[in-house]
Amino acid sequence: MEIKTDYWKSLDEKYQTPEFLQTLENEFLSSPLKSEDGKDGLARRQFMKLMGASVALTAAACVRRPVQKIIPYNKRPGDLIVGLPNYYASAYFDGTEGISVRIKTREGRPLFVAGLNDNPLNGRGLSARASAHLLSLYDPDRVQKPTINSINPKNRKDSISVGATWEKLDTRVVAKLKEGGVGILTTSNPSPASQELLHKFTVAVGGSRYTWDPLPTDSVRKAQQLSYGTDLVPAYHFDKAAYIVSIDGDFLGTYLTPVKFTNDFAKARNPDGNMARLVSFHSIPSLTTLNADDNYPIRASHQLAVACSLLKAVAKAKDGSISEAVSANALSDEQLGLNSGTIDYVAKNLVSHAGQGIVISGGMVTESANSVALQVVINSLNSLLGNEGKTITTQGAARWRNGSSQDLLELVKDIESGKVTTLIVHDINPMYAFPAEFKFSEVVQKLKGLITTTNWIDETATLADVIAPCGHPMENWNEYEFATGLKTIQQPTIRPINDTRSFEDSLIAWAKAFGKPITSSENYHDHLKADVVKALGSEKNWFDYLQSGSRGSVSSGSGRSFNSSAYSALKDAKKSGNDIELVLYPKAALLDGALANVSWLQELPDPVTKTVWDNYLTVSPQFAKEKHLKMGSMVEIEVSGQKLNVPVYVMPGQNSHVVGLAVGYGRTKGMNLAKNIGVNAYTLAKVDNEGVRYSGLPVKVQKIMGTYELAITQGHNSMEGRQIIAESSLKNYKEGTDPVHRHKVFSIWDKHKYDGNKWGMAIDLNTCTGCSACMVACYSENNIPVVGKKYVLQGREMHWIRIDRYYKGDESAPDAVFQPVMCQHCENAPCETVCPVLATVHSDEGLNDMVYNRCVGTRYCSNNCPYKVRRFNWFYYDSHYRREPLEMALNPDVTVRTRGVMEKCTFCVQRIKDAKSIAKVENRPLQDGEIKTACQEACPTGVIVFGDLNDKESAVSKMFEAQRQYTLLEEVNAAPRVRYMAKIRNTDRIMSSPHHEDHTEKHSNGHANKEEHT
Amino acid sequence: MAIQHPLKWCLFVSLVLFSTAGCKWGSIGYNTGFKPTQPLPFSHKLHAGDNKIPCLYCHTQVESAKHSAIPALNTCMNCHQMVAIDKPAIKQLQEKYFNGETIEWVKVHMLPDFVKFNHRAHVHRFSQPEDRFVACQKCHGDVKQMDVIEQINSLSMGWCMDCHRQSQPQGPQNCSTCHN
Repeated sequence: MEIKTDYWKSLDEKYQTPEFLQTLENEFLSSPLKSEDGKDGLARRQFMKLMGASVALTAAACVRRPVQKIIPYNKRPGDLIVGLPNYYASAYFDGTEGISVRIKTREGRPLFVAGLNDNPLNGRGLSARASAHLLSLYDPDRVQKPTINSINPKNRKDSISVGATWEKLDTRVVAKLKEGGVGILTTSNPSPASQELLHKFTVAVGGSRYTWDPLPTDSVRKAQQLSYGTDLVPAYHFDKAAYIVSIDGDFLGTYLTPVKFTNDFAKARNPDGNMARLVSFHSIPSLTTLNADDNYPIRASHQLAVACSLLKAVAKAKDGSISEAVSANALSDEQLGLNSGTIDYVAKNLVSHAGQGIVISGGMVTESANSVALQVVINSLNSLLGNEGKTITTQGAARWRNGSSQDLLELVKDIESGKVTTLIVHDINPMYAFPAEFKFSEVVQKLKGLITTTNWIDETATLADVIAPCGHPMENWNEYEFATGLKTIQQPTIRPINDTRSFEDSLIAWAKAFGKPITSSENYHDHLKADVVKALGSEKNWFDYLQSGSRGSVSSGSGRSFNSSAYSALKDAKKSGNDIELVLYPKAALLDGALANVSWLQELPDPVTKTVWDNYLTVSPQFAKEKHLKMGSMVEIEVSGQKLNVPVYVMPGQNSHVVGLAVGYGRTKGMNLAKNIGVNAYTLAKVDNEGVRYSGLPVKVQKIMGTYELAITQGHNSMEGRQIIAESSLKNYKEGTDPVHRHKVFSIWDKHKYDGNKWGMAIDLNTCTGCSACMVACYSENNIPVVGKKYVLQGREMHWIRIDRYYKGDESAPDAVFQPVMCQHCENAPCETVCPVLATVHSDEGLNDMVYNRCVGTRYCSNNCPYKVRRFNWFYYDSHYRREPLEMALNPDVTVRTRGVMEKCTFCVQRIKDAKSIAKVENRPLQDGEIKTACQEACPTGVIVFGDLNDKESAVSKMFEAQRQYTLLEEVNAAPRVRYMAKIRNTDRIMSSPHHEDHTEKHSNGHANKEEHT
Repeated sequence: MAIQHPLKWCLFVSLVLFSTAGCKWGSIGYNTGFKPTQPLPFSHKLHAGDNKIPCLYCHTQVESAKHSAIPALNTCMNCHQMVAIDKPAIKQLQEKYFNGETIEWVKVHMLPDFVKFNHRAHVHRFSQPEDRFVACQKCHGDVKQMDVIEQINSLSMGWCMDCHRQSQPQGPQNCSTCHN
């Protein structure tokens, strides 16, 4: 059977390979029992027989349940009511972005992290990481107490550490400090108070500081310094932009402040108002690429050439002169591998949107030998177009990003020369994240003392003398200034679970014991508070500050003019690339790998590749063809002698000269969950005089024996070529063409009647960027089990909400659409009619209720669900959480499901009930927007809207009436409660009409296929 | 039933034993009449009955949260710093309080984990301005007459549903009303 469709989820589907067609025949990846399932113990059925018989023999006489205890407080805290949540405004810093969050706690333990609404820092919503860092608080692998290792100093190698007290540890540290030669290695620190203490400490002990970020911004700052004389990372205002060009600047996924950018970007993407266009030139397809209206794959070594060519074309159009250095680096469309006229076309658009455009580039993917030159040309472009000062400003710029790979080179030099003999490491794991070329494992032997503040006995900690665990951000005080002028408080929401002490408190204690105190306050909290109270005038203001979460506002900026002497950076620009170029990139979920031990993030499908629990070498389909590679083929890659064996992922839309490998994987120590997942790509980075290079590395790719199974969630749950995605071009939409092919449906059922509420959800595909924050929020709110790679391969993942990624068009540069799919709460729900035990039934508010305690696990409902959103607990997946202290992350308002039970999205019914009960007690009607589902709270762009359809004024009712609305599989007439808004693409390319020409054929195919299963 | 492997016999026997032991920790049947001895002989009859202390004096949060919550020891000490301090049980209480300890009461009214009961909603529905005890009594029985707290009603789903169906106006009867 062959299915024709415009959209495809995988290359296998596009080409209808035999493997793909076979998965279609199966529909469900998982058979009820796999042969190996029975091997570890008795098979399930045998067990049930025995259990049934023995229970029947003895149960009749039993009456009592297990005795449970209630343990009241000794003194109940005044602000605590058992069973009612408390909320705290706080902040989360993930290594590149600061996010204002609202942390929900119950009985003193954090349970859920949501974005702080309408906060001045990033508006609303959060990232998958910000949601997931809750789980790292309860990580069982964290260091339990201060630890000293006595054996290490003589010969640094892995050895067993011994727990100590803070007093003993401080004595040990101070003895080291007194020996002199202190070096302090940290990442960029967005906290001014912490910076100040660190500075004072460094001066007090006569040490030297080294700052380095695994996610680099050095070249951006260097180029800003050259171009404008200001050392900062400017603020980008995507909400004011009409035309955005990204040259490998993944601002929606990993570069600078993705949540804020996503927020702003969505504001500029209103098809009924101002609709910006996003154009992406990329070496590695990223979230930004997949959201682009037009995308052009390029080589990593051509990033500079594209920028120069654009600048040349823009200058020509503006009739301005152009520097010789720029035109020397420009290339023709053919040389760039683009269709002829592409650069002129983009340049023309840039010129016509002068002052409303943004050209952005940066991040790990652009850190090549040309990175400073690239940034200079980008600056020049933005200045020439008048974007500088309008869409790109110094107002709200980040001045704290001061990590530099130069520091790293110096550090290695200083250790080798003996200038640094004791190294204090905070927030970095050098043994893991440093390039192998540094040979840091040898350098570190020269140290007399190595002190780390890590929370895990990780790659560095195993070599350290002293481990002074700094605890989790949710346990510590801090204050950040992410955007100059705007300060954000991070307040603890739990007492430290382990015997940990924040880095700042350690500094204060060590300086005091050293004899040169750096603050008059007892601890960091008092220090911070004294500072803030002094600045705000009174203690009351301090408490108001804790309530609101932020103070101040972004400082004003001034316009800047481009200094053409900056072109000197182009002098040594490397013009030729390598035949095959390796690009190291951070993944949107795991980023630099600091949260690698969080199962939610490991099992979160990567937004682009939809792969879980692994990293892999991404190659273009053409490259794969040439080298006879398939998805999962093993290859050996070699970068100047460094070799790694990795599986291959065939990535549509990637340049055939580029291969990519994600960082953040390949942990070897400390993190038990992340251990031995993937390979450590950091080791491949190259070092030259200027710094660390991650992009355009010369690489040899060699196919080796063997294949590897990649757990890709996208191939599952095929929707068989029906109209799942509706999309249209902006032009067609403005002309009034309906983006959706509507069906006539009729029903033999009586319609349900709803007297009270009638819940519904609307999802706007136009602003969904696929960031996946909603998926993690759903994990957190609904106690969703993590199943691990083995079971994802069998299609047993448990996400209640999934984000489907559809490609369309040619595999070399396809368009993509993201679509969140959860239980559609159908009016004529097919699952309800087939359940033999009435475990899934319709509620009088239109919800499709799932009753776990009634479910006997026939899975008929899942078989009959057209949307494939029901998840079955095949095993005791909940056992993942049944470890201390991980179980504290479970939401007590939601039942923990176990083996043999079907589950699915409930529209967060616990939140609905709670809000309704409060409104009733307060004797008032429920307000629209009062109930927010977990996914809705997490979304930075407001894609998901939930509300009452009986209230004609509610936001969701209005969206149900919109021109763009459509339901999934309308022709099936399950009448879903979830409506989607069609995607609008702002492109000049001609897009096919939504009316399928081969409509009837598809239908017959669909039905034929369905019959095979029934 | 074909049982051949000796290990399977072992399992069978142990399952029988386990389920027999289940009479003590077992799983079937409602807990009506459950009247465990508590670590301290607290008498509701004395407090709520004879001395007419309102329920909400101790169970303060029953109107605002899902749980009625057992009062913290500091609530007891409001009176028992002065009252009846010569009684051995009160001495024990004071000792616990001043040592920063707590008391492990035996839970009498138990619902399975998949049942979500909301005290707030029920208390608001049934309490009368002059006497909130009316609401409490509906499920917990005449607590004012109980020296030792006892489970009077079965707390089974049928028992809940009877009330949700019979009261006017009716209570919500969706599955998700109690199960999520």
